[in-house]
Amino acid sequence: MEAGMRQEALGRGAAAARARGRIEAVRQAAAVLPDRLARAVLALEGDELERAEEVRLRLGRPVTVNLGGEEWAAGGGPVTEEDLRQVLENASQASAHTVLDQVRNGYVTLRGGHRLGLCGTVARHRGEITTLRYLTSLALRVACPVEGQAGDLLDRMRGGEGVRSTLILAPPGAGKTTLLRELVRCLSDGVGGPPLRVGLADERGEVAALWQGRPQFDVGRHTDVLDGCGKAEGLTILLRGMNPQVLAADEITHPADVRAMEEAAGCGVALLATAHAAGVDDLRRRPVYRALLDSGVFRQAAVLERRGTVRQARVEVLS
Amino acid sequence: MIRMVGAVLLAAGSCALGLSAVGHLEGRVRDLRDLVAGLEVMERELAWRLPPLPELLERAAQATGGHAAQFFRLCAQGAGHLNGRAFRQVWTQGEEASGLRLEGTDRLLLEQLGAVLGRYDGDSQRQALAGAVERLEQQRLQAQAQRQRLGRVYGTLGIAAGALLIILLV
Repeated sequence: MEAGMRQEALGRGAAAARARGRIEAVRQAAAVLPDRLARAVLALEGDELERAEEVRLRLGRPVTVNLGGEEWAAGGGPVTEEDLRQVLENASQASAHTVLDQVRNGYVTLRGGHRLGLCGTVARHRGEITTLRYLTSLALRVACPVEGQAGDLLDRMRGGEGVRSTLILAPPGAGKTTLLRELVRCLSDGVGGPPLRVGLADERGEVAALWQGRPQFDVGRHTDVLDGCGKAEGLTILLRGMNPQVLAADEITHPADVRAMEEAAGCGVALLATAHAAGVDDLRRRPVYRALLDSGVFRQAAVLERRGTVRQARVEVLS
Repeated sequence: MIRMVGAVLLAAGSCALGLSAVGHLEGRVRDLRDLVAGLEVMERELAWRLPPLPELLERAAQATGGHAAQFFRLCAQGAGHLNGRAFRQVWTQGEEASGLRLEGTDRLLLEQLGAVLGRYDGDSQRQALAGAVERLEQQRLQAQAQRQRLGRVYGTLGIAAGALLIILLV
């Protein structure tokens, strides 16, 4: 009885700590907004602030906050061109040259791992996107690291000798990157087994969210992160330079990525990667992935499935 | 006795005026030299590592001294905490607060550079830095020539005026 009450109190304490962390994350993300708009967003009640997932700024419209899927209009008056420019200047610390690559990809990673999505009129030079000539909308997505998601999958990876190379499959938005990050952290920190050296090729900066060289998400004590270059190139650099025991990459999409994975597997490194697919059959229908499956570098696939609000990973043995 | 003290004070003031004019000429040369050195560091860093502006400016501050170091450091702090200001404003405020001993064209060149820094790609900023370095270096050479030409004149005039005052008043 007493133990049960203590457990309940611990649970309440953890929930309160999560809520505080969440509110702090919203405050940190809102720091890139002009004062007037930041005040309007932070005027939300505590429990609403805790649910804030995204802040949206659209030219000429009031700033809105996405609360669990619904957009709530905050005060502060309509968003001006100057507001949008100032957000981007704050986000880059007045250093456009450091975020141009990200601007071309449509988003900028901020301190704390938050992400600023950009929209407007694209400027091109010799057919390539150089920057955004006019900004029309910004989406400030509040980062929310989730721990304790690896669960059974980690046991299945760690089972037997060494680590089983695993490919995480799911449609977009199902939580592949979050799961990948959590697995990387667990392998690196020695959860459920000895700590391992993990090399993370974070091409788009979504897994570790490096900000001025520091990971904004916890990816483990023994993880070496390489971002800003293509996955294939990054995997090769990590393999040659960092002597990893596990190599991880988000979203395998290109034949070159597959070749780099094969090369790494040939060197005895365990692999961990994600791909957009509803399942193994779906994956097999596409030539790039068919080659990946045929190469036999991945020993199992973890297919992410959502049942209501619960996400589960169904493991299929590949080889 | 009082007349004597008054005459000495006036003479000292006159000398100080002359020497202060010389000091300004020398200070401008020194500040321009330090500014050019700092901007060259920024140009090289930008070409090699493309660091963010606060870090770039801090490097320039470390590589220089005096008022220029103070200027770069204030701008580095301002770029890291814009607080609703555009970087251009931070740059101008830094120049005013650091006490750089510059003149019209020097300030104009710096202001033009402040409008480019942090706003464009690395190459464009590097070109702007190279241009500013070249023109500020020309300004420094002119300031140096001016100091050699006018420095002695101001010094001599100050001391001579002081001596003349003593002769007239005592």
